[in-house]
Amino acid sequence: MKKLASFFSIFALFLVLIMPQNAAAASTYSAGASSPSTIYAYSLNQWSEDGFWDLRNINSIPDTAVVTAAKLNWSICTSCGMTYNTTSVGLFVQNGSGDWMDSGFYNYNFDGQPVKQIWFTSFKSTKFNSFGYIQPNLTILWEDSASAKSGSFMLSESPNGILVDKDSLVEKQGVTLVNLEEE
Amino acid sequence: MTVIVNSIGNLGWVANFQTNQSFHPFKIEEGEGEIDSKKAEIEASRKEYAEIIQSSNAIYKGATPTQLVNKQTNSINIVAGVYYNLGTVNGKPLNGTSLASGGFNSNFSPKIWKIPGSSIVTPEQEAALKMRQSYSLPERQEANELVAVFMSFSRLAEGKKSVDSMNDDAMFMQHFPKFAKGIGLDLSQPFTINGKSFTYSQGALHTIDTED
Repeated sequence: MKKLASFFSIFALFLVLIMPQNAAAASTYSAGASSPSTIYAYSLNQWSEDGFWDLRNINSIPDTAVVTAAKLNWSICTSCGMTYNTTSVGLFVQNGSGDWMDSGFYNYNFDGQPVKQIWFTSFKSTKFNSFGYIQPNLTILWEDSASAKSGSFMLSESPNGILVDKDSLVEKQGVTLVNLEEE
Repeated sequence: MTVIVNSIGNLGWVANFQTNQSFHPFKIEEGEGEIDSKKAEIEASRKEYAEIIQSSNAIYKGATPTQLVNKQTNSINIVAGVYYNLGTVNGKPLNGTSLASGGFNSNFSPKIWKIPGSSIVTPEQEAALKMRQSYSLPERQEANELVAVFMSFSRLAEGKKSVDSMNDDAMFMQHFPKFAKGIGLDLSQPFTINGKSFTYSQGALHTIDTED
């Protein structure tokens, strides 16, 4: 009997923990890491190298999916003399339009942009020693009016450098990163 | 010296020439198709850039925004490319443009444009950063919430979002009453968005079926 009771308590706890996430899943979606994962700057007050995400071939997202919001999280090189207050980071879509970002906050100014395209980020800093770098992670909220589908995907770099969709373990797919300059 | 006119042979040559000629335009058409798609891409990119420049000009020049709500009819008419007032954040007006190419250009965070690989930070990028930094982080986040509600409405007006998905949208549901109050939309009355009628009751948006 005790076992049965503890099973139901665990099940209830599971529901409490899971249900709010499911409720939010209709409109809240998730993220990934750039290629290269560390982007460097060697001059103050100039743009750094770019970090790319090529989301064109993610099969688990419909072609017609649009962004609701985009979130960028980044860590900085504090040992390089960088601070968060003196580092400004931009996120851009492949046509070049973008926004300055706040680390860890969703930016709804990307709402309506197609998800399946190349995204890139770059930063400028007013303070570092001989060089500085950041390590950015991208999260995208998306929805698709055509299929009425929405959801989350988490991209992370696998050891072989290929981005992997963590949410669809069955249909795990690789995304080859293409540098825009090489095209 | 005699010149022999080989008319049959000439006819054959003419036929061959015409046959070959009919191949060439086909090949050229293929090339033109590729060129056309590149041209279309460049043209689309130019239009997007022009749209951002135009909407940014409205921000930097302090243009008078269009009021989103017609208070006499309690209605909203959302048109892409129009510079709207979306209420205030901490007493500061939030204005911006919903872009036809996607995205929203707001005075709390003006859009920037960057070519991959470019290293020079342009005066426009600096101006956008300066304007953004003139607002506190909480102010920018509140502006973000209002933009989120507006963009949801924008998709609802375009028929790209259903009322059910609006009601499932935590961001929309949480901030809609604040947004409505800020723009002067009376939620105690039915209202219309781009000609479609709605009511808001018991914390949810409802469609009013209208007879044709």
